[in-house]
Amino acid sequence: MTDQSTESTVTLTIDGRRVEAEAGTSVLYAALDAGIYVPHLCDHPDLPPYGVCRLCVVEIEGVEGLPSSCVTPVAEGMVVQTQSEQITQARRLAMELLLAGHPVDCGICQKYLNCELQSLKQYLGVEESRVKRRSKLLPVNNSNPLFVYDPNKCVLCGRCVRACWELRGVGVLYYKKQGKEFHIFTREGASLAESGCRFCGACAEVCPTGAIQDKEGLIKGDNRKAGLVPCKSSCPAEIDVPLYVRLVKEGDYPAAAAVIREKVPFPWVLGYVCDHPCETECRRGEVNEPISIRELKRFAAEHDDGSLWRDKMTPKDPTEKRVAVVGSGPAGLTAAYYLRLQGHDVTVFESLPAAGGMLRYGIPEYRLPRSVIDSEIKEIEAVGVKIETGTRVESLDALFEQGYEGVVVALGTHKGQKLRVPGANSAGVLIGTDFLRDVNLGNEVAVGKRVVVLGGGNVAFDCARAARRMGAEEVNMACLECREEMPAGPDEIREGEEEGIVIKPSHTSTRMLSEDGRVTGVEFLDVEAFFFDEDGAPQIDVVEGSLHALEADTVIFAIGQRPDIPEGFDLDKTDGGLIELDEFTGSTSREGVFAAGDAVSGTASVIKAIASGRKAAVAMDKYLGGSGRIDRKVAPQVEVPACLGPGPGFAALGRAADRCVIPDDLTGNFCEVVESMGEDDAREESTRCLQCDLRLKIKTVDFWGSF
Amino acid sequence: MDYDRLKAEATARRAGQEPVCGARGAVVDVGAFERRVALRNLGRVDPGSIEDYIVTCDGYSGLHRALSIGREAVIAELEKAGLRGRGGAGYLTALKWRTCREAEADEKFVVCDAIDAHPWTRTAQTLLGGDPHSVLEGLLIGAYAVGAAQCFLCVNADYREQIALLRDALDRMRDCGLLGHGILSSEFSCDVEVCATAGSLVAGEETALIRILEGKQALPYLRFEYPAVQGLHEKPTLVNNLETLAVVSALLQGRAGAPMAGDTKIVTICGDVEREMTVEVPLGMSIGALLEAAEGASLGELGVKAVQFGGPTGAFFAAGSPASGGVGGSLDTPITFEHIEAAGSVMGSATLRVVGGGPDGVCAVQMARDAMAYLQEQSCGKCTSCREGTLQLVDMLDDILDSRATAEDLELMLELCEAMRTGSICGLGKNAGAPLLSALTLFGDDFDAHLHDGHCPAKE
Ligand SMILES: Cc1cc2nc3c(=O)[nH]c(=O)nc-3n(C[C@H](O)[C@H](O)[C@H](O)COP(=O)(O)OP(=O)(O)OC[C@H]3O[C@@H](n4cnc5c(N)ncnc54)[C@H](O)[C@@H]3O)c2cc1C
Ligand SMILES: Cc1cc2nc3c(=O)[nH]c(=O)nc-3n(C[C@H](O)[C@H](O)[C@H](O)COP(=O)(O)O)c2cc1C
Ligand code: SF4
Ligand code: SF4
Ligand code: SF4
Ligand code: FES
Repeated sequence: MTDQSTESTVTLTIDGRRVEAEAGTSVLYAALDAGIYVPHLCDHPDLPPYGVCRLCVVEIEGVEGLPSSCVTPVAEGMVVQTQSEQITQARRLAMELLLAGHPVDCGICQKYLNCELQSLKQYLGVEESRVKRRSKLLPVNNSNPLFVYDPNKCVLCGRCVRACWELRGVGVLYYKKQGKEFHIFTREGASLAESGCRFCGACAEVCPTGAIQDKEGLIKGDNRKAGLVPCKSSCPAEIDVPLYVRLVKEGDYPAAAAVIREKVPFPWVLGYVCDHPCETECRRGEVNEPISIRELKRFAAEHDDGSLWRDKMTPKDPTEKRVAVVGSGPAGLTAAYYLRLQGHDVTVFESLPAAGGMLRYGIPEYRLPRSVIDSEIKEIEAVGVKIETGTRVESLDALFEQGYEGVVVALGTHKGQKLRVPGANSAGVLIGTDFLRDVNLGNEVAVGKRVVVLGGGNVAFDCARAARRMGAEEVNMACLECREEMPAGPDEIREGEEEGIVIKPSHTSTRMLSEDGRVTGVEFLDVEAFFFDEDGAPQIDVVEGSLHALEADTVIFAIGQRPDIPEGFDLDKTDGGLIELDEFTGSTSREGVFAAGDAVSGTASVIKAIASGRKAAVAMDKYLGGSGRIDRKVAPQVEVPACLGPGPGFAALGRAADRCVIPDDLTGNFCEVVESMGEDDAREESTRCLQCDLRLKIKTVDFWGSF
Repeated sequence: MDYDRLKAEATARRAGQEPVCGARGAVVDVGAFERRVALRNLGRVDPGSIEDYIVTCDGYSGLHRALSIGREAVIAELEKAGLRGRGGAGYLTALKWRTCREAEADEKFVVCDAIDAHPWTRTAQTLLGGDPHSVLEGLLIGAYAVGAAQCFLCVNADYREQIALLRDALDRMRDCGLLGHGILSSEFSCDVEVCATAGSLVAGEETALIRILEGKQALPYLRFEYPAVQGLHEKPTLVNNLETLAVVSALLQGRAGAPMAGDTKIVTICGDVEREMTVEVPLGMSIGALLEAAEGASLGELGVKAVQFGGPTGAFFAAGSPASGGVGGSLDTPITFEHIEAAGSVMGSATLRVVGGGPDGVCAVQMARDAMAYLQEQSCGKCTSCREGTLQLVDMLDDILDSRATAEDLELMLELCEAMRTGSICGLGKNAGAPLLSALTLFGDDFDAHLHDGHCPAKE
C-alpha cells in the first residue's frame, strides 16, 4: 500500500451505505459514527466492549448467526445489515430477558426519563413479554456513603464492574449470586469503604439504569454536572478545586497556585481566612471528613514562585478609559485588578491609611499576617492599579467630573451597631468593628480586665480574642443562639475556647449595668428558643426568672454592621441599607456605577467579596465597551489519567491534623496561630481527594432520539 | 547440568531411595479396552520421586530432545501427530503453539489448566496424583516452544494432596536444574508456579482462568484476540489442558509414536454405575461399547436410560438411532471430536454420566430440568442469554413437569436455547441448551406425555 490513510481506514457497507472507519473500530461504532443507530446497552464508549446484552446484534454477510456489533471489529469489504425481521426478533428477546427481573413501573424511579434501559425499551417497542417476569425482592443497599444500589433494577450489564476494574483500576465490584439472582457487590460483601472503594462515582455514572444512583439530595442545583463537583460549584469564585488539589498531589505547586490565580487575585489571603463553603459541600465529607481545601490553598500559595501566571496576567492594550474604585477591600481590589488587566486605567480610593479593607482593619493579625496582605496587594499594584489611601470619597459626581467614566463602589460594611438597651451609651461599651480597627491601626484602646463580648459570629470571636491579646484577663462571650447554632465556624470556637474565652450561649442582654456613667456589667435572661418567624423577624422566648448578670469593665457589641454610604453618592438602597443592584446588568441605580462586596450583600466573606468584585469587573468592562471576558488560562493543561488504582485504606484516610498553636502568654502577642502545612502533609491530604471531576470526563451515551 | 549428568545422578540417588509414595514397579491392571498415553506411567512410577520418573520413564528426555531439535521442529512434530487439545474444544495444539510463538512480545506465559471444572471429571486428580512430572515436562516443552519464561499450573484448590506433590516436585526440579536459569545446560530459562485455584464450572474456561491469575473475578471474556496473542496481562499466553501436556511429553520422548498420540482420550465414567473410573481409551470406541467394556455387562443388563457425554453441558445419548441433524445421538456414536460434534455436542471433559433405570426409569423432562438447574447454578451471570436463559428454562421445565405448559412454551424454549448458543461468551452458555435439546430429540414422548396428556411417564 502506498497511501498511509488506506492502511488504517477500512471501508465497509452498512445498510447499503459505504462507511469508512478506523481499523480496530467495532461495527457498532462504525455505524453510530455514520449516524446509523444500533441499539446497545452493555457497551459504553469509555469501557472495553463486553458483548453480553445482545441488543446490538446485526447481520454480516458470510458470518453465521447474529454477531454482536460491539465486539465485532470492522473489516475491509464487510457487508452489514442493522435492520431485519430476524434482528428485531433477537433484539426483542434480548430485551425481554433483560427486563424479566426488572421492576415494571418506571414512573416511580428517580432515573425516569434519563434511563437508557427505558429508552431502549421504547425503541424496541417491548411492552408485552413472552418470558416470565418476576420481582427479585432483593434488599436495596443504602448503607454506603454517596451511593444507593438497588439490585432489583440492575440488569447485570457489567458497566459498573468494568468502570471499577478497567477504567479506574480500583477493583472492588463483583458479580454476586444470591439464591437464583445476581447482583453486583463487593467481594466479601463488605462495605465499599472496607473494600478499597475510591468513591469516584464512575459506577454510578455509567449505570444505564436506576440501579446505582447518587444518594438523594447530594447533587444540588439544576446543573447536574456542576453538582457532581460540589467543591468547585460551591466556591463563589468557581475555583477549580479538584484540579489544584491534584496538582498539589503531583507536587506541581506553582501550577496549583496558577489554577487558583485564574479566578482570584488573593490565593494566599484566602488560604488563611476563607470561610470555605467548599469544605461544607465536599463529597469526601460524606465518606469521613472533607478535604482541607483551604489549607491546601495556603500551601499552594506559599509554594508559588509566580512562574506560571505572572507574565501572563498583564494588562491588555490601553483602552484610554478611566475607572474609579471606592474602597480597597477584597471586592474593590479584585474589580480593580481585572479591570486593569482589561486595559483600563484604574484608581482605587481608600479612606483608611492602608489598602485591604476588612482584611487589614477587621481581621486581626494573628489570623492573617500583614505581610500576606501586603504581598498580594503588591501584585495588584504591579499591573498598574493605582491606590490612593487616606482619601475618603464623598461624592460620585466629583469622580465623574474628574474624568472617570465608571465607578465601582465597594465600601464594605463599616458602621457597627449597638443594641438599644438601657446603658448602651455608658463609657466602656464599644462597637466591635471600631474596636478592631483601632487595634489594627495600633491606636490606644482601653480594654479592661473583664470583657463581655455580645455576639456569636466570627467578628465576635475576633473581638474576644483580640481583647485577650490587649490584656483582658476574663472574656465572656454571650449570644442568642444555642451552642450548636452559633454562626462562628467550629475552628474559631475551638481556638477561642483554647484561648480561655468563655462562651455563654442562649443569652439575651436586657441592659448594661453602670456606675457613674461607666459600665460595670451586663444583665441577661436565658433564652429558651431563638428563631425567625414567617416574616423573617427574629423571635426570642426567654426563661422566666432567669435574670442574672455578668460583671464587666468593657462590653463589646459584635452584632453586625452596615455600610456607611455617604449622602453624596445618591444611590438607591435596600431596606437593610445596602446598595441596590439590577439583577441582570449588575448596575446600581446610577449609570456607570457598579457595586460589589459587603456593601451589596451585607457582611459576608472574603471569597464572596472577590466573586462579587469579579462580577462588577465584567459588568463594568462591558459597559466600557469591552468583552467582559476576564478569565485567562494560565495553568498548564494536563491530561488527567482515568485510572486511580487500588485503594485499600483509602476511605479511612483522615483529614490532616489541625496545626493550631496558641501561645502561652497572649498579651501583646499577635503572631499567627495556625502553622503552615508541611509538604508531606499537603501531599497526603491531597491524596484523600475523591477527584470528583474525573466523573465529568465519562461520556454520556446518546439516546436513539438524537439520531 | 546436562541431561546425561541428570540421568546419572538420578540413577545414583534412586538406588538408595525408599519409595516415596505408592509401590514402585507394581503390576498395573490395565483394562483391555484402554490405551494409555497421557496416563502411561500411572501406577508404574513413584509420583513423589523425580528420580523414578527420570530413570524408569525416560523422564525429561522429551524436554532434552525438544531443546536439541529447536522450537519450530517441536511444533512440527505436534502438527504431524495431529494433536488436538484435550481440554474440550479440540483445538489443534500445533496451531495454537505457533500462533503464540509468532506473537511478538517482551514476555510470554504458559498456563496449564488443571481445574477439572466439570463436576464429574477426575483427569487432573488422577494425572497429577499419579504422575505429575509428565505434565510438568510437557509444560516446560510448551514454554520452550513458544518462548515463555514463566508458567502457571492452575490446580483445583480442592486437590490438596496433588498440590503438595506438585510443590515438592518443583523443588526437586529446581535442585536438578530443571527449573530456573539455563535448563539442562541450554539457553532456556523458565519457572513454574503452582496456583491453587477455587474450582467452579467457569473457572476452567481459559479466559476466566487468566482473569483469576490477574487477581480478578472468574468471568470469561470475549476478546478481539486469542489468549495466545493477548492473554495474561495482555501478553501472549499459551493455555493448555494438562492432559494435552502429558501427551506432549510422551510425543517428544518418542515413546508414544506418532499415530498413537492423537487418538486417545481420558474419560471418566460415573453416574448410575457399579464403579466410577477414570481411564484412557482409544478415540473411535463407541460410547456404548466403552460402557459395556468398563462395566463388564451388556447395555441391556445395565439398564441405561441415557448417557450424558462431555460434562454438564454435554448432550444425552441413548439406545436406538435418533433422527440425524438434531442434538443428541445414539449410544453407538464413536467417541471422536467429529462424531460428538455432529451430535450437536462437544468433547468437553469426556465424562460419561450414566442415567440408569432403563428407558422408563426416569422422566426425560426431569433429566433435562436437573441438567439445566445445574447450569443455572453455575452460570457466572455475565451473559444475559445464559444467566436469564437458564433461569427461564428451569422455570419452564418445572411448568412442563407440573403439566402447566403449552406447545407455545416449547417454541419459546427452543428460541431461548438458540439465543444462548449464539449469544453467550463461553462454552457453558453456548452449550447449555444441549442437554435439553437432546432430551427432546431422544425422548420426545416423555415431553408429549406431560404437554398433552398431563401425566408423567415415569410415574405410571
Ligand atoms: C472582624 C471581621 C472578621 C472577618 N473574618 C473573616 C474571615 O475570617 N473570613 C472571611 O471570608 N471573611 C471575614 N470577614 C468578612 C470579610 O472581611 C468581608 O466580607 C470582606 O472584607 C468584604 O470586602 P469588601 O471589599 O466588600 O469590603 P471591605 O473589606 O470592608 O472594604 C471596604 C473598604 O472601603 C473603604 N471605604 C469605605 N467607605 C469609603 C469611602 N467613602 N471612600 C473610600 N474608601 C471607603 C473602607 O475603609 C474599606 O477599606 C470578616 C469581617 C470582619 C469585620
Ligand atoms: C465452562 C468451561 C469449563 C472449562 N473447564 C476446563 C477445565 O476444567 N480444564 C481444561 O483444561 N479446560 C477447560 N475448559 C476449556 C478451556 O477453556 C480451554 O479450551 C482449554 O484448557 C485449552 O487447552 P487445550 O487446547 O489443551 O485443550 C473449559 C471451557 C469451558 C467453556
Ligand atoms: S448496577 Fe447498573 S451498571 Fe452495574 S451491572 Fe447493574 S445495571 Fe449495569
Ligand atoms: S473530594 Fe475533592 S473533588 Fe470531591 S468535592 Fe471534595 S475536594 Fe472536591
Ligand atoms: S456463557 Fe454463561 S458462564 Fe459463560 S460467560 Fe456467559 S454467563 Fe458466564
Ligand atoms: S452492546 Fe453489544 S452486546 Fe451489549
